[in-house]
Amino acid sequence: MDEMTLPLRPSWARIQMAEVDEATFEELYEHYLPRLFNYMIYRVGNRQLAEDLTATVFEKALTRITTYRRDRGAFSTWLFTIARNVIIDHLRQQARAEIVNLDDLRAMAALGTPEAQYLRQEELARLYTGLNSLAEREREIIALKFAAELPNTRIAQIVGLSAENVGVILYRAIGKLRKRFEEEDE
Amino acid sequence: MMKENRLDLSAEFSRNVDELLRGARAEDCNVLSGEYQANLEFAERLVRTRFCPDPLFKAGLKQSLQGKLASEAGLQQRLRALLPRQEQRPQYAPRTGLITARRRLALGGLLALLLVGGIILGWRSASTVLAEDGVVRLLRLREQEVVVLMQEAFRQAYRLRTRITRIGVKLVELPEKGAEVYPTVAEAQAVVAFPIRVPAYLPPGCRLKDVRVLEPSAVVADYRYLDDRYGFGLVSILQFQRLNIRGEKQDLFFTVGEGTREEILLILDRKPAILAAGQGWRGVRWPGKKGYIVVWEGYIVNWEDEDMVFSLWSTLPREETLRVAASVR
Repeated sequence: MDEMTLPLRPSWARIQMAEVDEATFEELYEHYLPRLFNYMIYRVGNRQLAEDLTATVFEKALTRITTYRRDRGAFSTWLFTIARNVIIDHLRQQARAEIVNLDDLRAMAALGTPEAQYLRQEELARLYTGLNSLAEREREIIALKFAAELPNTRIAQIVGLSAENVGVILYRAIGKLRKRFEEEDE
Repeated sequence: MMKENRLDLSAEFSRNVDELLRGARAEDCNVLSGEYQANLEFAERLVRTRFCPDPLFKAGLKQSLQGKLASEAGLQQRLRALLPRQEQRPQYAPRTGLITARRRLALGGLLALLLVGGIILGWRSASTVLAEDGVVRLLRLREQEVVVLMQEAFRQAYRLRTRITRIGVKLVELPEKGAEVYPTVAEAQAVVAFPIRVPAYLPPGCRLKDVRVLEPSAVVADYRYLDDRYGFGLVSILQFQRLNIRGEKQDLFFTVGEGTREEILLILDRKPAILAAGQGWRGVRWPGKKGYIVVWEGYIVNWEDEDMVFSLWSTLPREETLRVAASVR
């Protein structure tokens, strides 16, 4: 009987994941791009920057797609964790004041869907200013909820809180934001 | 009491926001108070405020990413991400003024203790690995035929290199690549010696990627899925004839991962055995069939049906994996 030495190599599923075919990529892209971009806008409020960061996240995600493990969490959790880290890296490098660009927001409202046009451009800019007045964690949770459209359990995994805490912070943050809008109206 | 009320309120609010995100209207939601209603209506406004990417940006990024995906360099880059990372030691500038000789001595002693402890622990865990019932079971199964030698166990305790003596049967391995690829089952069927079986049930968002014909007696059907519930993942179904067209008995053999303890999994005489330890396997049953499930970065289900051997690999949850396996006909 002859002997064979087994080759050491990465696991089957990971190799399979690396072979992202065109159709799979297309699905991933169409499914997550709008949410990812929306999330970036909520977080940085600058269209050009949001585009750059969205592209960075997608490139990182595709390069590292083999490291995604289903048994450790949902794909959206994994993807938005990358997005969050990209933002954290970015925020470390730049002062927040430089990022806010209300003119960009106004211009972007014109690019929106009919639903987006529900709010007037000025109101859209106001929303962003309001978001900026919230605490970082509140802003992050609102972005993950309303822009990334994630359930509380996944948000909890990303920000490292319990789902109950996320719910409480979300409710409180929305209350604050609404009051700010109302005060401005008066 | 107040705290509970606040939790209930926020939990209900989150549920309602999820409904709004799915297209419901605030007026259809359960309203708990005036303030709650105001917050919910405000949330509805946020839900309707979606920022859309510029179509030019969307198309440009897509094209750029597709180019990277299609290139061999891109694939190699993704595969490189799999390799165990070499820890980069930071190059600290010497701070001799801050660390006294006594501190260094204490640190050295501590490190020496940790090293000795690590060696003892490493030895014990490697012994445990060897003694795990996967190896025992395997040796029992093939007493004289399979010899497992562990090499380099301590050079790289985390990465165990295993050598096995070739056994009498032909081993069918789930390949990472290769063979002839067909886009549909019907096209693959034309070159295969047996009727290819397909799952009658697949979860929503799951579709056939392609079918790889390893040889006329063995094929792999690869599926991908993407949806909100299960995210992104894959399902592969390997099926082959127990006796191939040359009359050779075939068995299943595959490695499940580099750098992991559950390095090699071998199906011998219809029973899986895991070398170098693993999470083990459990028997599973469904009407008319009996198989084994292995937990590993998802699930692997193996079973036989008449003269066919099946191995289903999936990153779906366990229940869904078994449901797909049960529906293969």
